[in-house]
Amino acid sequence: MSQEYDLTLKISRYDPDTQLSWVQVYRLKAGRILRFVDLFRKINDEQDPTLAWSSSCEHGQCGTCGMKINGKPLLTCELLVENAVKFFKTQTFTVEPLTVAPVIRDLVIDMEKAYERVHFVKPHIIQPAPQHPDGDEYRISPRVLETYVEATRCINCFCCATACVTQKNYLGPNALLANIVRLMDPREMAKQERMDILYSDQGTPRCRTAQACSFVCPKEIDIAHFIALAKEGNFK
Amino acid sequence: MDAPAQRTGIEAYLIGILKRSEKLSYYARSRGWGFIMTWAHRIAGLILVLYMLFHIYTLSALYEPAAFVSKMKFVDNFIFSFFEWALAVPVIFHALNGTRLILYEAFRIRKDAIMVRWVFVLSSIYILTLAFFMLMGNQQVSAGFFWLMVAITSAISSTIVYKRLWHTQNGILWKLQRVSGAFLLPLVSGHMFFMHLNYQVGHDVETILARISAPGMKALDVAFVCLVFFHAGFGLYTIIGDYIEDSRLRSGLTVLISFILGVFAYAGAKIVLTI
Repeated sequence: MSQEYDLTLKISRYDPDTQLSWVQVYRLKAGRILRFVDLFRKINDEQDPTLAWSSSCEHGQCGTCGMKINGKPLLTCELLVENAVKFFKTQTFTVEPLTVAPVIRDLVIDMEKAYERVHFVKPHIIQPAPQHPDGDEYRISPRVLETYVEATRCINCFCCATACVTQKNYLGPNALLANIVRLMDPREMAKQERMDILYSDQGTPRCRTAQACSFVCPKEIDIAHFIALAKEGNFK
Repeated sequence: MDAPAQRTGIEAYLIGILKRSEKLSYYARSRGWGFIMTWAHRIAGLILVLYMLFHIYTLSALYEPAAFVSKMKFVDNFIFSFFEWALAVPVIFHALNGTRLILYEAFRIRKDAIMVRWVFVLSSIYILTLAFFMLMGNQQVSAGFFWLMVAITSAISSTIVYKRLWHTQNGILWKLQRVSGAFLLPLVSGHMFFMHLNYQVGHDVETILARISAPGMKALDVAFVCLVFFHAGFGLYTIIGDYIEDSRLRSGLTVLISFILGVFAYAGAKIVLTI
């Protein structure tokens, strides 16, 4: 018979109609391989249908289910009960929304607002390099790609921005990473425009190299490494 | 999510002590030790800013050596000596942790867990050595040779950082903060060390006056005062920027801090140059 845990979840609630915030305690039994999103669904089904939370793909690709569990920002679709109990050495968990944008209700934040920082750095290629004369594709050598391919795994879940020491007047680690990816991308020609954003007052000068971004990144991207490359001024 | 790695030996013991603090343990698990180091760096910096203001204030009594002697009588006791020794903790931690950050940011040294351990090991060695010399007293060292070595080391370390960062598009003050930090690392740790080699003589007015009247020392001390207050000012400016969104309030506080630190820097430089 598989092991069951007696869990206590202390969940931050917020009602936009009354503008009241409170912490609600839920007690439930859960199997060891249930994920935290499964726990929220279980609460909705068995105890409280009013608890609001967000998720979409539920396999760690969309970044919608980011929350703080015992203070650590992470993707709740990836967090198994057994691993959480082992890591935090407790069966009691506080569950809070990420801090990068206003809370809409309970654990749901305004992702449009959070994404403003990412849009600000223009995560697309601003000025594309000319295409290869023999075809439509632009060829990137594996050696060049190797230097930044890790950073392209970012899903903008905003866990890094929540964990960061600097919470104000800062674009945040994931937005800087989006800019740095394009700076390292040989298809991008608008390098100086990207540099101006990167070294602006809301850019790298606000990074304190605490490396909390790398510590919490669910995609295991060493974000602090890429921001440090920007400070070093050498992206190779 | 993996369970934390097991540690053994003295490190496990020390980590165990640190983790008894609920707050530290919370942040170590949720943000990593780098996050705690950043906070410790910031708090150490704030302590040093306050001490520098106090230090300039006490040194201002050198204009009247008799007043300075009476002030030194007030601080010549075990409790103050202990605090003076304890000041080495934020000094050396801030200096070595700053070095760790420069190595990470500018020299691509990414083995940060090892560097964090070295910060603690070297800080401990420095603090214990200082305590040893304070207890022994009467250490003989050639002041000229000591300060020449410190000046050369400061010049070399700051030049290395300058060459590494100056060509980058980082802001000029940001770069100057790193260069000044590299200059101050040997200078501040050397200053503290030298003053405690012979604790009693370090408070003796004749010895202090003789030391700061040497032309070479005047140049070094003026550089010391200017760079320390610039470094402190920029550190405070970044802290303000990290917490205050209102641009008017931010500008107002920046002006206020610049003014206060500017006055103390001027007073410090004047003491060095005119006494």
